[in-house]
Amino acid sequence: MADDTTPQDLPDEVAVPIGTRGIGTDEWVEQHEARLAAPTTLGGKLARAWLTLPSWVRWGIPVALALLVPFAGTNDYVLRIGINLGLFLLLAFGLNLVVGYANLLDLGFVAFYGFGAYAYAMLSSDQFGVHLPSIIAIPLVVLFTAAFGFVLGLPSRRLSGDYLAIATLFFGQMFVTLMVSSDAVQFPWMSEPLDLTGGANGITGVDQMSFLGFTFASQLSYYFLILALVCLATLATKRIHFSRQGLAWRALGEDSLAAQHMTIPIARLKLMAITVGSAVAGLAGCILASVQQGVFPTMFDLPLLISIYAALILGGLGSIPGILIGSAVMIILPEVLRFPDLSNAIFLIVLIVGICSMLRKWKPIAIWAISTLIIFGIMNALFLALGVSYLTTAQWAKGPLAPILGAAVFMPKDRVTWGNVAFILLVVMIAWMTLMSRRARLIALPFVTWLAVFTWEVRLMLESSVTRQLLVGALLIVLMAARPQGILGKPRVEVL
Amino acid sequence: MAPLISALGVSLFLQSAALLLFGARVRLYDTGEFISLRSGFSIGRVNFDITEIMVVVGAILLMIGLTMLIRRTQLGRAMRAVAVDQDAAVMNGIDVDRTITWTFAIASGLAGAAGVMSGLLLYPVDQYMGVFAGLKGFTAAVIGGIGSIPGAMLGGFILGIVEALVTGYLDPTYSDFLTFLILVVMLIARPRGILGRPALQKV
Repeated sequence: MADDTTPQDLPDEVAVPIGTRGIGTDEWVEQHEARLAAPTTLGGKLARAWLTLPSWVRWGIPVALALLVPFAGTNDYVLRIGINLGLFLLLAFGLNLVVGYANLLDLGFVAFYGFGAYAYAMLSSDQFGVHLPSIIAIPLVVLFTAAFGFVLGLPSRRLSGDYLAIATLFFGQMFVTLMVSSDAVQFPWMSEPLDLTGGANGITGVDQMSFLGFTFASQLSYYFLILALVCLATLATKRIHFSRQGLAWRALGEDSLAAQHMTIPIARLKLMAITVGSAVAGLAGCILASVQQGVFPTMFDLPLLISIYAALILGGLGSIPGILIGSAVMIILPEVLRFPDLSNAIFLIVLIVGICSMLRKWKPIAIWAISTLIIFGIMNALFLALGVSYLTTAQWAKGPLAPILGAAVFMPKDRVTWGNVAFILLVVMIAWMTLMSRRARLIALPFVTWLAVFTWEVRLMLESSVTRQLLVGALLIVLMAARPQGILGKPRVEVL
Repeated sequence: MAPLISALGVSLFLQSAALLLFGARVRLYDTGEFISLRSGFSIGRVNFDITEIMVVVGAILLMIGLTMLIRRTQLGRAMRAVAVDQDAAVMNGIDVDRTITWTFAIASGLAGAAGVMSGLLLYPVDQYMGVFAGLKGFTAAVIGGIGSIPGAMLGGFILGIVEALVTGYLDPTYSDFLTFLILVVMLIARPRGILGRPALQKV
């Protein structure tokens, strides 16, 4: 999006006299179609090409990709990622109703997922010796979760904005704590404490789902079940978007006061959004408990909540393709981090593409590339001159990128200490760069690039699980600062 | 919504950065190396511990400092103005972004001081210790009335005493639950808190 097309560049027929414009249409809105029709950047052209495809092709491609997943790989690993992605998508669609449409910042959403999973586990495992058939257990759990959401939604009618967010966050955190600590609950009418949730060990040995004699025993069957549910959720969201209900929700989200003046019953709609959202989460929870054949309290902690929010925001709140893309990124990226070669390649590509798209013009890119190479040389020479003991290339670098990385990055023997120092320095430098002038930023960029590569190779590659959370957190911060509406979301127009 | 979401991002980032830098081990301060844990005095049957007194005095000093900052300095006046109406503050020549940055810096500094104090009282130190502490801090502020420093102090006292009583007489597991209930009841029944003034809102 280098240069927005200025009004002068547009074809003449767009410039209509003011009187013929519709209500709520100004010059900018009016030229929107024309801007879409005449994209100038590469990204714009690609988006245009994609949008001109017939809609069955556009929706067929993701479905076809999803149907190909079971054929990938020799074991269930890829299938499991698919299942995780499907569950994550269900959650994202549920949360989209609450946050994307009704604009209620519900930070306790994951607790409903956990509630569904725990309720299903309690109703069909040896925990209490109850084994309800799935056809009863699942509707029951979904109903319970919806009722639970309804009750917790009651205060939401009075709370607004940040207060609702913090109250729900508190609720979500408390759910985890309660699940951990309810392994010995002393009821007054019982002689000895009752183990409700299995504490930190959770509940294991949950029954497989079965309907009408068909038992979901393999990962493949679960995959297709979840795929069907995700397709259903996508269709439902698509239908809701322009339905009376969806329009009312979105009006409420845009401006609840204005919505109320339009006689939209906002209290009821808020409650409904939270109830429906938690019912979807409850259903996803049932499937999770059944797929994993167990539930553990840590699965429903803050990192999952933040991942779902990151997915929704990355794609763009309220946009269906946005949810699909955002969720895919949030699920697949952490898996990629498990493979050093892949994660190295992706890190370098993202770094280079990111910096190139930031600098935009060829000259600064060339200067940046050359000076970065020089910095790499200087830093390596500096380390050698200081006499820091190091690992040889063969000792740490593997895979196809090894010769390049081995030559470029100095790998000190004490990876943890050097890496920690570099990490702190990197965070400080990036924070400082946001305060610099453009020229100073250009000068600092090669050094920061070196620092980023050094930190990544020396320290972050050692601990992929921590790195993944670091990246999610950093992603949210950067997104909120740079593009709060996400990749596919529409920028929110604020009227003062 | 953007500030809250980026706050979530920052909290996840800081937690995992702490995990990366310090490891997952839960730690305790070696307070005993500086101040003997036995040092203190007793009046009648009540024992006073030196570290506890230091923490209380430190907290009171910080609160006095904060009150002075909010009431007397230019920055404090700017903060109060921004809290009431950002647009009006801009029109009166206040650098809103700068004020918000300073507010965040001061608030984080105070939270850091509270973290050190909880470490001095030999509470375990780990990277997730801040989550519930932050939520309880918010609850205390809501009880007392958002925007009122004596209110926050009063709220903190009430919350602390209630929690201590619940932990002592009932069951420690339910103290968090009780705090949550207090928060919800306060937010619904009296959102302005005990000492807060009702907010005038012009729509």
